[in-house]
Amino acid sequence: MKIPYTTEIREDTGLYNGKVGMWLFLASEVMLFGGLFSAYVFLRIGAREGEWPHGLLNIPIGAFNTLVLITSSLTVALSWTALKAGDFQRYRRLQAVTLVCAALFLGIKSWEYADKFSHYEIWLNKPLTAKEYPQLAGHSTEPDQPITSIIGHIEGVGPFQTLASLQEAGVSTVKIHPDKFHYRLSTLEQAERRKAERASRGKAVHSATDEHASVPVDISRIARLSAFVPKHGTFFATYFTLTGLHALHVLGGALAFAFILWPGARMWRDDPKRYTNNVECAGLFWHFVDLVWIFLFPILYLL
Amino acid sequence: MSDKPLSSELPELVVANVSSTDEHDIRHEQKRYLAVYAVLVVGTVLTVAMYYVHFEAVWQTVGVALLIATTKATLVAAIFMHLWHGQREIYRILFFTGVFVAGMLILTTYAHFCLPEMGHYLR
Repeated sequence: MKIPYTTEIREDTGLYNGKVGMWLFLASEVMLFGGLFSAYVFLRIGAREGEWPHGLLNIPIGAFNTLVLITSSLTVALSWTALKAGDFQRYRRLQAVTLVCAALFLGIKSWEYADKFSHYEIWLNKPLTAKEYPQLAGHSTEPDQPITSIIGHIEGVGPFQTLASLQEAGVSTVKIHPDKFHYRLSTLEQAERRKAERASRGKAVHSATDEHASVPVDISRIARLSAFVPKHGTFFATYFTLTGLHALHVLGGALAFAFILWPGARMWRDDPKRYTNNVECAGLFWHFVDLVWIFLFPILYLL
Repeated sequence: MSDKPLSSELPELVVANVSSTDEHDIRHEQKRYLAVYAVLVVGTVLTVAMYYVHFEAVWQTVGVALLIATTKATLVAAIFMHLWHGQREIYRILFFTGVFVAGMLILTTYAHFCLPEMGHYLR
């Protein structure tokens, strides 16, 4: 029995069935991502000033990933026109580029995740000051201001460690290489400090303190230690949920394209019009995934 | 089913069925895709550049970022997803999607501002 309306247009909808089905599915995806986006927005606006982590995501990497996904959207669209023109080889080449872009996007995302899992925040029960450790200058607005948390990379500590796991391992002191700025400082404040630093460079005598020098913290001074994992706080919980779900969609779309390109390519021989429509429907899903990232990137990385 | 490799068989047959009008339309479509791609790249560069511009108010930063993102998304939806072709059934689906999304946002906003002691649980 032949499946109806795989290529013929239905009179009532004016479309073939696959297209209607895909748009209905995308409507449900809009509700899914819309719900998560609105959750992020309300959590963001509900956060106290200075407590919402910002500036912790790599913007050039995120921008590059955006360009990768936009390029893959172009190759998907062009591959469909190649099939419309009957050029199967051109379609194959373009879809191969799409799959390379998908792999590149997921590879970069994995690298970003791995970096986050080894990036720590230490909350102190006995504050420090930038006067004691000048390399912590970017962690407070004033040199005398008590610093209750430090963010950075910890020497000799792998990913996913907690205070309990370090205590179990018998660690007595952690040496943390602090980040230049704590997220407590606003973007504007960080920019002003960078500007002042550039202006004073060359005029000032070379400082004896290396701004990347580690700060030794006794384990008894630590109230909480967490990598930038979902459990860290609301920001990373929503970041990993949104980008993780998006990455799964990228993977799913890539697998669909790979199937259509290789085992599924038999259909091009038997029913080229239906094959072209299948590619169009998979393309609609891919463009939607790109659309989601177009909003995700500025919201998570820039705002 | 034929055992000949795909590349040697059907593509020639299919190309023969593509009229010169279709070919012209396809080329026009491809040029449009490339033009949209260029705009998307520029939009991405602008989005990143906007991060380094410090607007006076937060709403200005958010507004500009969302304006650029919405423009990019509209281009992707209209051109890459073929919404520009004006298929009424899809518009009907999207209209109801918009209704449900708006409903979800309105209800969430109402809940956000209607908690006991005006958002006490969130502070």
